[in-house]
Amino acid sequence: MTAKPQPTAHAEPSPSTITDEMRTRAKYVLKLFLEKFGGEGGVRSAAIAAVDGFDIAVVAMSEEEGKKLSALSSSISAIGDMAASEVGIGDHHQSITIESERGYVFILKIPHPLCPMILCINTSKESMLGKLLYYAKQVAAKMCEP
Amino acid sequence: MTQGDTFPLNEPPVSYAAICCPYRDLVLLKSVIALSEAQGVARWQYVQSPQPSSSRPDLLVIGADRSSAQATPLPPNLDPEQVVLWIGEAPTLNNAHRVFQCKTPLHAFQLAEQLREIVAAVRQHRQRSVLTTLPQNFLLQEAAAHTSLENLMVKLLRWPPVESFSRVSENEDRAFWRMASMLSARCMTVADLSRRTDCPRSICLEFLHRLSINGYVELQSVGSAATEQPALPEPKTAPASPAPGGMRGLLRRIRIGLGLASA
Amino acid sequence: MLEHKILFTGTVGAGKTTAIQAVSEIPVVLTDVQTSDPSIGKESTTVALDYGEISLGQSERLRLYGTPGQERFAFMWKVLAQGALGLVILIDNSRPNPAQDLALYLDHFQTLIRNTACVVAITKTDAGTNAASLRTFSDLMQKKQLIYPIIVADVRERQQVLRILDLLLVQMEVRQ
Repeated sequence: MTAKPQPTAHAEPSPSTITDEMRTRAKYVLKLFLEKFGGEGGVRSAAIAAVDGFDIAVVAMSEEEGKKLSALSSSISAIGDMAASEVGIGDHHQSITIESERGYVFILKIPHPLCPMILCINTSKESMLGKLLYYAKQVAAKMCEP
Repeated sequence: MTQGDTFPLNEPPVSYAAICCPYRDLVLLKSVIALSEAQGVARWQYVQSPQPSSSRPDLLVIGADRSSAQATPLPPNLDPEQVVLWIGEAPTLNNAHRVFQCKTPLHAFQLAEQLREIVAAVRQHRQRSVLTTLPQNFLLQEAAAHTSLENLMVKLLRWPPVESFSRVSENEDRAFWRMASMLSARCMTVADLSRRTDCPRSICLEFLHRLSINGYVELQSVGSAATEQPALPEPKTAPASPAPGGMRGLLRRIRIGLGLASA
Repeated sequence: MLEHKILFTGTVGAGKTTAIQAVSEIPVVLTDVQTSDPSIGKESTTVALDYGEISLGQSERLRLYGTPGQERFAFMWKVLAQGALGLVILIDNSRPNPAQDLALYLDHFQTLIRNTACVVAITKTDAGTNAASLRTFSDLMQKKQLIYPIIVADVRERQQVLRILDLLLVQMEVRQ
């Protein structure tokens, strides 16, 4: 069970489970990811969000777009969990790929012990999805490191 | 400061008397009552301590100074219909008494909140009293201006307050809620309301009378321009699946599925 | 299979999931996830939808959908409202400004409710709730020129949820 943040001695509101350290790390790994896969690699933008849809870090998109993508991805991810469970292929989804005319949206679970997150990637049709998935999982692993 | 209601202009003032009240509490009470009137909650009228020969005030305030030489009408001497504001520790009374309580020391905020509840209780009591004598008097007056009650279209102007629904029997309570819900969806005649709720017309009229006292319904002639109801717009989000028996059949099946079929 | 839908919406923690659970014939399917925002006062929150159902016959059912409560999931509200027979709005009266909460849902779902039916159920009322505080909701509706039933309900009680649905059905019936 994930530990709930404790109130401070002066009874201020409990801090969010999204820490500054998480935000800094998320921004850093996304920047590296975009450097590796941006441009000809096909990745246009990426975001890391908490599973309840709050954005943690975004790259190559506006704050507003980041918030929207985070909320959308959260809903899609939750429906993915529901589908996996109802169909009987597992308790949670691991990744979801949405394909459309002009590209893909790729959603990957980040099973952080304190603050479960999702990685959302907007990429072109030219991207090599297999390679993308491999490095996306490395991003997820990096976020889960202590 | 909450937004005040506007009391009907022709509503008689709420009369109140106070016994066993220390001077400080009495001054505070009168000040908060004056504020309540300024806010439009109700008009008030102070009366001297009730005498046996005089009519009962709407509200009796029993203060915390029980050692006073004044007689304190403790139960079972207290009139069960009397609305009472008891300051301090209140005795256990049966449900027939309508007792409100303020703890000591008396605070203006607490008193103001109780006064709103008390006004609602007094109004409810007055409605009951009227209904036991001439439940159709208002509608009869309206009907005099029209050919018959059948020609009266009832229009709900706003959702009525909770106290309009309180009845002795649970069945009639339920009927009142359903009547108000129907009227919230469309205007209809008294006859229609009676037919759809399967309630006697007298019950429908009683409910409408309660609503009419406080201006929650409007009565219009059927066929007047004002009652022309525009055709209900085609639902933009109508269910895609056609339902056997149309919508009526579907709603019937939903009632059966929910166990509400006897409604 | 013929499918019909009734939608439950309202503030976080108002009892949407609970209300559906009270009447659904199947265990409610949830999309609850851990919250990262402690201010909502719950450990988990709905981010997509809740789903329950009631059988109307061998080849017909009534789906009960619950929306996420938070406004950033308003895109889900639009999706879930498609084809709904009616809407139940649950308002948590213990929140700082429940009338403002109600205004949000009335505005977002106005197209649906003007064409179908709606019941507003006020939850988490306590001994301090009085008729005057409930009047703020009907005052708000009157300002928006809307009239829908406003009732107090404990949605943990099946009978009280059925009462809400009864009043919803009553509105739909008189429009036929």
